[in-house]
Amino acid sequence: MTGRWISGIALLAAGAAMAWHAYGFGVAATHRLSTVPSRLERFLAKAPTVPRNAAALAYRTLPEFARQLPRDARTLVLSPFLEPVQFEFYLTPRPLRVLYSFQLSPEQRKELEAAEPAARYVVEARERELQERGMVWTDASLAAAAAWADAVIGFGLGARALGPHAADFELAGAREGVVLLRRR
Amino acid sequence: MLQLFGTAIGTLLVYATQILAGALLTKALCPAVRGAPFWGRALLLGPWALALQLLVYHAIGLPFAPWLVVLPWWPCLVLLRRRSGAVAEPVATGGEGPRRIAVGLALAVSVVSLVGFGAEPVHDRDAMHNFAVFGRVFAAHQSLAIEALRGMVDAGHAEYPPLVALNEALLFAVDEELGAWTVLPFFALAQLALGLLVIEAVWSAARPWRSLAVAALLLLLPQWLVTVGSAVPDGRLTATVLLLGLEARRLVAGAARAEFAGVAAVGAAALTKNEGVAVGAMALLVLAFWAARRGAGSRRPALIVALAVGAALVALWPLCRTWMGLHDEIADGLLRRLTLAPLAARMPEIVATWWELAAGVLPTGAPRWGALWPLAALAAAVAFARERTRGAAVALVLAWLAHLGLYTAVFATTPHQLDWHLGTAAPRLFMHTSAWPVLLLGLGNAALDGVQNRTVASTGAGLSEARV
Repeated sequence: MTGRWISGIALLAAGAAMAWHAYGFGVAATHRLSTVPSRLERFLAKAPTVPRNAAALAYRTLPEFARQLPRDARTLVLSPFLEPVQFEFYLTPRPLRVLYSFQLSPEQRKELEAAEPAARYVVEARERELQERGMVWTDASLAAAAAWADAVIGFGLGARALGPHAADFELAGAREGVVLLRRR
Repeated sequence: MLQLFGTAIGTLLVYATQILAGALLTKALCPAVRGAPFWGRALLLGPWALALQLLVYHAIGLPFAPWLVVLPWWPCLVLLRRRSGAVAEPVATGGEGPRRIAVGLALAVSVVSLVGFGAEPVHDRDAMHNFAVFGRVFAAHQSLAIEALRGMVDAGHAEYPPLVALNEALLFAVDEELGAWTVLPFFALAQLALGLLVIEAVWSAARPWRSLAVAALLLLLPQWLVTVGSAVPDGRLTATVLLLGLEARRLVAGAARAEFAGVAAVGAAALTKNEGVAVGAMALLVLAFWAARRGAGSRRPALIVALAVGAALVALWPLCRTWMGLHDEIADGLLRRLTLAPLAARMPEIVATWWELAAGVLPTGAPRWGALWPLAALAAAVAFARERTRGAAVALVLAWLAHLGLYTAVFATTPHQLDWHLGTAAPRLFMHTSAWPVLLLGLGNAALDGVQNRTVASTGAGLSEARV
């Protein structure tokens, strides 16, 4: 008799949990799954000139540029993004150097920290990491990397970003504000 | 068009080989397991077998060419077709109709997951920084490419265990551009494996409809739905931890070769994530106690062999990593930093995070873990109330606490900023521990039957007898 009572209560609890759960699943599914086409569309049609989603921009542009480069071409990527982008995913096995140039104004820093409390840690750690790895874009680091490179890929920068080294390279491709330059 | 056709054939062949390798391994290690539990194991163990194969290839200088990897497995298909003489174990059997519905639901969830996560190729976050980018490097160099790994300009953790990256490498080797899409089913298959193992964990032959209700609740857990199929290995590790628990259950029930199947799960966990190495080591510790107990009897030699193999499998990647000169900041410094001072200072914040995760909601407003934790507590109480399942209930609660305690120690000693680390890693780590409440629900379900499920019941009896 006790077993039946326990079974009954357990079944009721399971039923209630199922209802609660179905609600949760419905909300999750609506958010996650029913927007598939629009999510895909959004991903493929991100604003072309604003490098807001660096990784998506890399996905859309780099495979095409990689096809134009020999597999041993020494490649320099110039990136204005804060976050790391896995350029190697698209360009390996080509020898690769990346120089990052991001300068946050005090206002931008405040805005970032307001949006994400741990942002200060992330930004400071990133800046330290780039310094340690010699990946900060300075005149000296650019000169050394440009002298080494067979090709340069610049994000949202154009050929002028190479400054005095621009004459050594010619435009080989451009898409969504990303340029591919090859040594003349 | 021809290239696309070649990509499709190559990709299908890689996935089929993963499943074939898993099926062969499962048949060897669990000869009496049939049906959905068999395929749940196969889906988890196959990629592990291929990852081991690629590590061996690297050691002997063979390239990671897909044809060279898949070729040795297909002649073994005849072994799979040969009928096993072993009598089928009563694992997740009974109530064919409800059981088929449950398996169908698991399949549907993994398909929906594939559609959902398939909306975007792998291109950012952990899936890219810590896994896919290494898969591309392995594929491009046709080896572990040690020099390339050491020289990567801005990658995440090259020292992470490489099961996912190695399997992705095969798909990138088939087609390096479309690989960003073709790797996605790998994670949907992990979700299917988790689903099939969940059904095994909670199934009771005596009450199939109630078992179906419990299984459906678990298969539709919001946190699993929005995480397991994403292109990171945490869902796979969660399924592997569940497999570890299921093999422990079979071992206690006296199933043939269960210690070796458990050790395979340990090996798979250790090659999936760093947390898997720690969980595997803890599982071996428990296995050592099990082997040392008075009741081990004639099974002790097999247990000792399994322990030795398990120790080698757990140590495999840490040793490779050291040999390759890939530094792991967290794992290398863990023992040195493990003092009580930071543990005490950081404990309140860590415990608060666990609590928030257990009780919290997703950004969508859905309860993150649905009814899992309250129901698991209820199941633990029911199992504890019955004498025959009391020992197993205590063991499972202790296993969950030990697992959570392990992660608490990792957080307390991590060199990174705690807020940031808790915010980014804790939800995924907490998910690994969700395997234990699933097993508790299975035990509670069996306890409600008056212990009619043979496997679960004998587990409870065995654990009580062993005073675990």
